[in-house]
Parts: sequence; C-alpha cells; structure tokens
Amino acid sequence: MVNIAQRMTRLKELLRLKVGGGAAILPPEVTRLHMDFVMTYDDGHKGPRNFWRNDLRRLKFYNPAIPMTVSRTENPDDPALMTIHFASASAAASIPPPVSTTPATPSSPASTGRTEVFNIKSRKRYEILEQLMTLTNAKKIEPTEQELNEIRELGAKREQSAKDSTLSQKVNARKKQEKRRMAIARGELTSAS
Amino acid sequence: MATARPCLGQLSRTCLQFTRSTPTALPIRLFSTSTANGARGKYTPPIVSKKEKVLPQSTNKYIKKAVVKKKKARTTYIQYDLSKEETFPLLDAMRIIRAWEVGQKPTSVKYELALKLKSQKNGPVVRNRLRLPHPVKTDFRVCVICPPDSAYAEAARAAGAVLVGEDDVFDAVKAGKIEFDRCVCQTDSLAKMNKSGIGRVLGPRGMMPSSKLGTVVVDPVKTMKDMVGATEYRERMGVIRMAIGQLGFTPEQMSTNLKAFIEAVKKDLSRISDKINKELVEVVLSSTNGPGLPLNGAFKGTNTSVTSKELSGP
Repeated sequence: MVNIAQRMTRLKELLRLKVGGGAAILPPEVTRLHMDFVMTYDDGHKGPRNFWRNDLRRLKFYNPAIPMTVSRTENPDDPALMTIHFASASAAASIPPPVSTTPATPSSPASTGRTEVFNIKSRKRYEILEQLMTLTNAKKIEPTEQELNEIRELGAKREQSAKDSTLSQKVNARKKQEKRRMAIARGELTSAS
Repeated sequence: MATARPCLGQLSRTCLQFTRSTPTALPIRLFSTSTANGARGKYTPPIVSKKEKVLPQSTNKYIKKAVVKKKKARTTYIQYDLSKEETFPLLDAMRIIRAWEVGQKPTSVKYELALKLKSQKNGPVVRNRLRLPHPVKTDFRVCVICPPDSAYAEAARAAGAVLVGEDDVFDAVKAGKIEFDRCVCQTDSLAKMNKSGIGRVLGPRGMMPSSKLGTVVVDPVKTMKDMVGATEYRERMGVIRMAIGQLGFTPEQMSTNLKAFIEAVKKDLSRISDKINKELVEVVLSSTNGPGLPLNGAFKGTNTSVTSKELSGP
C-alpha cells in the first residue's frame, strides 16, 4: 500500500469537499438535481463539467439525501441544462425530503412538483452556482476560522512542494546526464544514440 | 647518383654531432644520483621508485570505479506506524465517497476494500472465494453445455442460463457470437465439447470449461448458483483487495458485506500454518474513483451528522 504519510496528506485535501463554492444546504422542497451536458468539453461544456467536478460534490456532501444525477451525451450539439426538481409546497411541509430508491426516473418526482430548467452551456462554474443558489434559496455554509487556516496551510504546502519538485527535477536531470556521459566514456553508448 | 650518397652521409654526420644525447665531456658530479637522468636527455621523464610511481590517471574525470553495494533484500512488506492515522466510521466514509462519486452511475461505480496484512514476501498467500451477502455483480450471463433434451438443460434454462445446448452453442461460439460471461459444461457432453474445437475460441478468454476450474460438473445448475455473486480474492503485495459493494448500496448492506468479508479473511488467516504469523493491520474503504478512507470499525461516530437513511438513495 502507499506510504501512510502520503495517504494522510491526500485525506487532508478532502477538506476541499467541505469548503468552497457549493458548500450549502438546499431547502427541503428540492428533491432532485439533474445535469445534462456533453462529454467533450470544448464547446461551452467546460463550465458544466467543472461545476460537476467541484461544486456538485460539495452540494452532495452537505445534502447527502438529495439525488444528484449527471447524464453526459456524445453529440457535441446537445444542450447543456440544469434541472431542479421541487416538491409541491404542501408535500414539502409534511414530509422530509423523500429518498427515491429508483435512479434514472426523472419523470416521477416531476409529476408531483414543479421543475426549473436553465441553460448552463457556455457559462462559468460560479455563474451556474449563483443561479442555482438564487433559484433554490440554498443556505450557504461559511467556513470556520480553523478550516480557513487549514486551507491556507494546504496552499502553502502545495507551493512548497511545487518548488521542491522543480528542484529535484533539475537534480535528477543532471544525474541522468552525468550517467550518460559516463556510459559514453566507457564506450557503452555512442554519443549519437 | 653514386657520388651523391657519401656526400649525404657526411652531411648528416656533421649535423647530428651536436644533437647527440650522451655527454662527451666528463661528468662533474661524479656521485650524483641524478646524472643518469641527465644522461637520458633533458625531456625524458624522471625515473622514480616503485613506491612513488603513481598509476596514470584516467583522462576522463567522470570515470570512477563503480562501487556496487548489495542491499539485503527485505523479507517482509513495510509496515507503517498507524498511530497517527485518521480513521472514519462507516457512515462518514460513505458520505465522503458518495459525494466524490456524485453523478456517476450507481451500478457501475463500486466500493472497494483493501485489507492490509502483516505478512512475509515469500510464503503462502491468502486466496479464497466468497459469496457476499449482497453480491456486487449479479448479472453474469451463463452458458451451459449439456444435452439439449436432458433434465439438466431444462433446469439450467429455468435457473436463467442464457445459452443451453450442445451443437447450437458450438456453432454460435465458432461463429464468434459469445454472448455470455461464464461457461459451464455437464460431464456427459465433455467428450463432445472437446471434439468440437471451441477451446480455440474460449480458451484465450478463460471461459473454456475444465474440471480443474470446477466448471465441468454433474449438476450445472448448482454451480451456476454458486458462481453468481461469488467473487475471488487473493493477497497481492501484502494486501487483499476486493469490490465490496455497489455505490447504490445502503450502509446496512455495506456493513453486512464488510463483516462477512473480514470474517472470511480472518478465518483464512487462522487456517494458514502456525509458523507463519499473518495478521490484519488495516481496513481501507475506497471506490472506483474515490479517495481511500481507513475505517475504524464503527458504524457511526460521535461526530457523525448523517443518518443511514440519508445515504440510502441513489
């Protein structure tokens, strides 16, 4: 298995699952989120993809009971849409967010409540998040001072490790060159090869 | 021409007279040790004793004598100090993994478990197969080779075999139509199967029935039932890794699966001979794309804010 220190550093990075855009609690009437976009991300589908990879994870972390699905298609001309399913107001008041056991049935929650659909193509990650937050009235979770400190530490560590890695890259390149020169001098290698 | 030769000889003699290295005059320093050197000429290297003699240095300063140190190979896998390890209760770990895998298909993404063992590099390894209480992969398409009008064929069809028969199966396989994942053969049709030459097609895929693998049997239906859901696990590099559940599993399902698997592995560990001491060191839950989270054995921690019901949905 991988060295324990390395693994624990990775786990510390999981803090990013708690702090950042999308760290918010959705109101109980939101029953489901669904995203449609295209696999290749060059034609305005990069924002949706980034949203899925970053903010949607945080949303799911804080709202584990709400199903969030993503369907990605192959055809680059397909639209990119975000669908929010709401339960009807009376239903939301009486029952806590329902846990549907059957995935990939977008029609079933839609039939009971209303849905909001908006375009997310050619839009940045934070624009999508902003619209989602205003549409759902989600309650944002502010990071604590301790979490912010840890984030700062992580950033500093990352910078330091980038420096270290460039340094060791140089050293390794020099070592490799030296080895090669030795091999040429011994006649094991020709200088051309 | 005859006159020119003595002429040249004379010329050379007169010229060379001055460049002769042997001193013609009597040496003044009679007992000097360095006179011999002087006699050898100005530019000859000095004669040195054997002790003082230094081997001619290589012209290339990069050439060094390579020092080959042989490290003693370790016989056990490295064990890390786990005292500072951060561990998670099952619910927290599942919450993180489910958040990480958001938007993925719940059936294609699997929970994976890694059991780190304290074990030696050589020696016996843990290897067994297990039927989990909640099987991870259930949709095996099984092909049964048996006489098409026998009782076995009917039973196999009833049990959900995709393809049943003898000649039909052989023809389909030879035509390249392999629409199954596993193949079982009934003992009566073994000879016929061997003659048919489907081994050339199925063999490379590892699907050819053979008695060694336990796929040539008297009762194919029983084997089919055992096969579905049973998974093999083995120790590699001191770690046993196995898929333990689908992303859509509830925490309770996962918990029963985990318990069953760990108990089975512990039983295997105790079955290995007494001389070799193997123990379970660490349990890490991960997923297809997710992070690896060490478990602490608890279902719910003190800080856990999620309920198992919240984690049950898709």
